[in-house]
This record gives sequence, C-alpha cells and structure tokens, in this order.
Amino acid sequence: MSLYTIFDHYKPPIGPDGTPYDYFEALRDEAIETETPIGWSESYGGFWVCTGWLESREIQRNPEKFSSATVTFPSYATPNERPLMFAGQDGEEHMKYRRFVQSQFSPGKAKALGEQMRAVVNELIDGFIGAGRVDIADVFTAEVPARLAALMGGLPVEDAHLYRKWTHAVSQIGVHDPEAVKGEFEELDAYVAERSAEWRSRTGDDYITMVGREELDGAPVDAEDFRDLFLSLIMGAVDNTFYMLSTIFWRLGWDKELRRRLVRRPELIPLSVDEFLRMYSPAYSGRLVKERMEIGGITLEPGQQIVLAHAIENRDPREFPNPDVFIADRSPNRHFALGLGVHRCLGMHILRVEAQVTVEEFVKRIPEWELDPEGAPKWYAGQVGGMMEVPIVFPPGGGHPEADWSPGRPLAAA
Amino acid sequence: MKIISVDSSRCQGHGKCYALAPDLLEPGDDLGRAAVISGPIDASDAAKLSQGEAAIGACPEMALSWKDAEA
Repeated sequence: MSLYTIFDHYKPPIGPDGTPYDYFEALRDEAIETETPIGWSESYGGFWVCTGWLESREIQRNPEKFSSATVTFPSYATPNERPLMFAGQDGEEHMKYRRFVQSQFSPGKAKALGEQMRAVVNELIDGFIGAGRVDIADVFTAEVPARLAALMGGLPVEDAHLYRKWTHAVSQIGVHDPEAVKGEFEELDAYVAERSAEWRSRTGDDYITMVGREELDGAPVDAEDFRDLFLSLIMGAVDNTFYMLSTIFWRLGWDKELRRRLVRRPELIPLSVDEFLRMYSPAYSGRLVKERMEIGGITLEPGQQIVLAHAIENRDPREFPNPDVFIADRSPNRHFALGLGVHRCLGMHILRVEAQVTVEEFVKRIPEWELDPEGAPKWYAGQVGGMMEVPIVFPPGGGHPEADWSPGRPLAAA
Repeated sequence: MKIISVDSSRCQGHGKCYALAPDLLEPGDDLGRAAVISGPIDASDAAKLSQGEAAIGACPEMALSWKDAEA
C-alpha cells in the first residue's frame, strides 16, 4: 500500500525522535522510487498530496488554475466563516488587501522592527535565565512572536497572551470543533470593537493605526475587515513562527555540533534560518483545482483538493542534494517554506529578521543547552506544525560557550 | 564582464538575494522586489561574482540570472 493512502497532516505517524520526519522521508523515498510526486490520500474524503518540488512550483505559479479558497484543509473555523484574509483569497480581492497593508511588511520595516525585537528577546531571556530548566516553547518561542504582533500593531505587550490564545483557538481547536471556539471569537470581536474607535483616531506608523487611517476602495475599512485584518496580524505573527522557532530550539538542543558552530560563527545564523525553514517547513498549502491539469503523471480534476506538503517538497533530492542533512550555508536553497508566487508569505522579511535576532541573542546569553532528560518534546501536527513543547535545561545564569557542563550537575560558583 | 539581471515578471520580493548580495541588489519597493545596484562585474571580481551566484541560487522564483555586459 502506498504511504500516500494514509497521509493525514493532522495525524501523521510520529517516529522515535518525536517528529513525523521518518514518515515524511519514507513517503518521499516512495515518491522518488515510483515517480509519483503527487499521490492520493484517503483521508477527509480523499485528496491529492504533492510531495514534489517541481510540481509544487508549477501549482503555486498558476493561481488562476488553483484557488486558495481551501488553503486550510479541512478549513479553519473563522469568526465570520470567510476564508482567512490574504492566504484564503484569490485574484484581485487578494491583491487589493495585500496592496493595502504591504508597506507594513517591507524590508525596511523588518529591519527597524529587528532592532526593537532585540530588546524584547533579551527581556524575555532575563525572565527565565536564572531557572536553568524551562519549556522554551512556552516561555520564549511562543512569546516572541506574540510580542512582535503587539509591536507591529502598536498594541499593549501585556495582551500578547490573548494573541497566543486566539491563534491557538483557530489553528488547533476550531478546525476540529468550531463550537468550542465560539466564546474565543466573541472575546476577539469584543476586543476589536472596544478599541476600534481609538485605533481609528490615533497617530503612528504601526499596522493597526495604518488600517484605521487609510482608505480601502475610497472608504474607511469596515468593522468586519478591521477584525479580519487584526486577526491576520496576530495569526500571521504567531502561528507558523511559533512552531518554527520551537523546532529550531529543539534541533539545537540535541545537535551540539550545529549549536556550537552557530555560537562560534554567528554570521551563519541568517543563512541557517533558511535551512531550518527548508528542513522543518511548518505550513501546508491547500488548493482547490479549478481547471483540469496533467501534472506529475496524474490528472487533477476541477473540484478536487490538493495539499502541498512543503515539509516533504523541501526534501526532494531532485532539487536538494543530501536533503535530510542540515547544511547551514546551503546554496542553492530554493525552498517553499514561505510559499511562492502571489501568495508568498507576506511577513517573510519580518520572520527572517525575527528568527535571526531570536537565535543570535539567545546563543549569546545561553550558549549551551540540552533537551531536558526528564521532559519530552511534543510535536503538534496540523495545517501548520512543529514542536510545541520543548523542555530544556541549561546552566542557570546562562553559562559559557563550550564549558564542560552536563544537565543536572550544578555549575560551580564562578 | 557580466551583470546580474532581475526578471521583474517573476520577482515576488522574497528578499533572499539582497541579503546574500548586498553589493549587487537592494530592495526596490514596498513589496521588497529586488533592484540592481551594481554595474557590470569584471571576471576578476571574485567577491561580487560569488555574491551573485549565491543570490541566483537562493531565488525561489528563479528570477535572477547573469547577462553578458559590454566592457
């Protein structure tokens, strides 16, 4: 039986390392051996799964043949049952909203935010560096992007926990049980409604102020769009990035050689962010077939669903030599973790700076850490996925690079 | 002599190129699409050539290429 048959991005087989990558690699190997870069899964009533890099590129480059209406599959529950803003839109409507906000996601904006983020990251590290034992996903890699959302939106940092909670509700709970998140959506609606008058009258150059001030189609943004644009900001900031950052700290927790290399040569960190994105791509992209198309030896029919498995495509040996090996300065590295074409990740410039700053500042303060031998990393599998709990240990206070240190052994007072 | 060239119909503003080749390219607009800032590069300019190779290899849209340039 083909490994495609059992493909379910919400319930992949988890291997001994706590991740689905054994299964992904086996599926990839099957796809290469049998020359089936696209195969049929029996889950959710049946859908196509794309594991080939070349085929994924072809699909992403043809948005007129593949609608993004089913970018999340099964569909996320949203407050108004409209598809997610940006990611779930097509054609002119998509471009209209994208153009409206794009100045907030420019490379220049990312650079400026990067400097502010250094302070945020260090403040968070101050909070747990004395402990020596934490779930780094909870205290750090979830909090960094939630606070970044606050920074970008000119919103109070104290509300970051709400942004985490609502993102979690949409991406982990609502997709299985829409009823269970009704209360969360009501809370989110009220949050926006209570603040929108102030948001529309204030000054500043942040995202929320811009949305409140600028006109869209010759009129102020209506309440529903404002709520969706707010939700896009927090979900765009938190969802993928949380998993990506958590997985980075998991990998560096056991891969001492790589960790020490990045400590010694921090100039490799920006490039290795792209290699982490390639190796552990958090997101899947769904598409609805609009026109019949022959690709990868099969025929896609209108109305069928296809899911682009970027995590597997980005390990396609036809494009990436030694695809399962982490090569910090891999070149070329044309991965699809952030998508391609018109739907490329809106926040990509910000994400890259954010991941870079987060790793750079962390390894300066805490150069040595390991996975907690008494804890268990926990993977979340879904529309976006990655590590969601990463218990680690490190010398309380941070320790020194390459110091002879082992978990559980207190450091001599230095 | 050759010059790096951006196919503007393909470029989507991923921005990997100007991070890798800051002497050749820079962000050209709010979308982050690349603009060429370097003139023709001499075959002896190994540093710039290697920046260009890295940028070409990083572009997921395959929007970058070398073009021959007059000296």
